[in-house]
Amino acid sequence: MKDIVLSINGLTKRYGSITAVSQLDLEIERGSVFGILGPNGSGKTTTLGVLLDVTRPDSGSFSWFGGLPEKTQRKRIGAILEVPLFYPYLSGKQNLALVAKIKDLPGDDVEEALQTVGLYDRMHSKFRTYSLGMKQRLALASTLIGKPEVLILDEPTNGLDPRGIAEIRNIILNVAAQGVTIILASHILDEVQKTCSHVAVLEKGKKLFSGPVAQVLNEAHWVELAAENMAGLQLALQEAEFIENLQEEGDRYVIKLKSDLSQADLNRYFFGKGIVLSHLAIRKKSLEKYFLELLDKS
Amino acid sequence: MMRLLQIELRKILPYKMFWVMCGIYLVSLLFFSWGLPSLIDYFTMKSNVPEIKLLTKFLYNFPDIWQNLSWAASLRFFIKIFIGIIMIILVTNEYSYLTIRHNVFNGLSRTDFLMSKVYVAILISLAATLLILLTGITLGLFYSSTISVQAFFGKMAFLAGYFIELLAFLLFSLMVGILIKRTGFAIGVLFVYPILELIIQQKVPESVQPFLPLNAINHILRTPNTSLIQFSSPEFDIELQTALHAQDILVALAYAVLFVLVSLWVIRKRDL
Repeated sequence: MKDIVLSINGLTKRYGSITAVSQLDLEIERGSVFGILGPNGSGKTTTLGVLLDVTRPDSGSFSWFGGLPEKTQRKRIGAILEVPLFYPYLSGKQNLALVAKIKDLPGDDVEEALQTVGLYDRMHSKFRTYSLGMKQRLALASTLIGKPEVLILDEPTNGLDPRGIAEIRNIILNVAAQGVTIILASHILDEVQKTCSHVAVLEKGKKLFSGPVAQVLNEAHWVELAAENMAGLQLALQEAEFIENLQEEGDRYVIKLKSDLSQADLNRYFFGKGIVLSHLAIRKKSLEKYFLELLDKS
Repeated sequence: MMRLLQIELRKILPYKMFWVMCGIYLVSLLFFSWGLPSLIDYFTMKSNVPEIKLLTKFLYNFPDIWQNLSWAASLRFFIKIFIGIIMIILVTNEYSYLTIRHNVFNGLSRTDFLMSKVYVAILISLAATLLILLTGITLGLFYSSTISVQAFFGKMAFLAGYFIELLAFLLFSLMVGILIKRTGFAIGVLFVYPILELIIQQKVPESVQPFLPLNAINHILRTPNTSLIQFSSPEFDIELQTALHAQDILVALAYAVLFVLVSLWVIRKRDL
C-alpha cells in the first residue's frame, strides 16, 4: 500500500478574476522528493501557501498525513515560503529558538541546524545583517529543527551564488537520503532534474503533468540515424514496425520509437537488412525540452 | 497560554524599539503626573497670588491620588496613545516582516496568533497599571497630607478601572493594527479616529453618544470630582465622578470582546 503524506483534491484559488490555482489534484508519497515546476506566476507558491494554511482556498481540500489535526501536523513539517521570514532585530539563533518554541519543541537541535547550513559562526549576528544567501540558509536551517518528516521548500536556492546553490542542493539530498519527504517548488528545471524523484508541472494554475522524473526523461526516445546508403536506410525505416514518427533532418533521419529498444537492437535490425549505420545516437530528452513541449501544448 | 506568552516575550524583550517607546511613555507619565504640576506650582509661588492653591498640596492626597492619576493617564488624546502605538507596532511588525505567515505555518493557529497578542495587551495593561501604582505610592508618600491605611487603599478601585479601560483601548489598537496591517497608517488611524468620533458624536442622538466606542471606554474614568477639580455647583452642570460604575465597566468589557471578535473574524478569513 502506498504511504501518502499529502493528498490534494480539486484545489482552486482565485485572486479577483485571476485563477491562481485551478482544480489541482496531487498525491505525494512518503520518501519522495517531489518537484513542483512551473514558470513564475504558475501557482506554485499559492499552492504551498494553501497547504500551510497561510492562503485560504476558494474550493477543494487537502490532507496531511491522512488527516492529522493541524497542531500535530505542523510539528512534522518544516517549510520555507517564498522569502526567508524572520525578525530582523533577533539573531539567527534567537530566531531559530523562536521557531522551536512555536513548534513546541525543546529546541536542543538549533545549533546543529545552524552548523548544517554553515551559519554557526554568525549565529549571534542579527538577522538584518545577513546577506541574502545567509538568509536563505537560515530559512533552510529553520526547516530542519525537530527533524520533520516533510520539508516544503519554495525556491530554496533563490538569490544564491553557484557554490551556495550546490551546497544547498547537497543538504537537500542528504536530508532526502534520510527518508524525509521533500516538496520543492522551483522554476529552475536543472534544480528539479538534479534533486527530484517526482515532478508536477504547473502552468497558469493547472497541472500539466505529474509523475516520476525518470519517466519523463526516458519517455519516448528520439534516435538519430545515418548510413552511407541513405536510400536503403529509408526503405528499411519504412518497413520497420517499431517506429512511431519519422523525420528527416539534414543528412540524417530522426525517429521516435514506439517501444524501448536498445542501440544494439537497432543496430542488429539494420545490419539484418544489409545496412551499415554510420551514425546512431539516442537523444535523451531533458526535462527542459519536455517542459517546453508541455508549455507549448497548453 | 503560558506558551503563547513565552513566544511573545521572545519577540518583544530583545526589541529595542519597544524599550524606546516604553522609555518615552515613562518620561511623559512622570512629566504629566509630577513634572508639570511642580512646574505650575513653581510659577504660582513666583506670582505670589495667595488665592491659588498649590497643585502638589492636594493632587497627591490619598485616596484621591489614585483617581487623579488613573484619570490623567487614561485621557484619550493623552499619554495613553503611546501605549496604543506600542501595541500597533507589535502587531503590524508581524505583517511587515511577514512573520505572521512564518508563525502560522510553523504551528500557531490563527486563533493562537491573535490570542498571543491579546495576552500581550493584558500584560502591557497590567504593567502600565503597576506603573501608576508605583508612581502613586511614591508621590503619595512624599506629598500626601494624610497617610493612613484607610486613605491609602481608599480609591484604589480606580486602578482596576484604569486597567480595564487601557485593556479595552489596547484591544481597539490591536484591531486597528490587524485591519490596516501597515504601521504608519494604523498609527494614523489611532490619532485620527478619536477626532472622527468627536465629529460623529455631533451627528448622533444624545442617548447614543456615550456608547460610541472610545466614549464608552473612556466613560469608566470620568472627570474626577476630587480635589483636582473642586467645583461642583448648580451653575456648573457637570457630571462628576466619585466612584466606578458597574455599567460602565460592563459596556467597556463588551467592547473589548467585540474588538477581539472582529480581529478574530478578519484574521481567520483573510490570506496572510
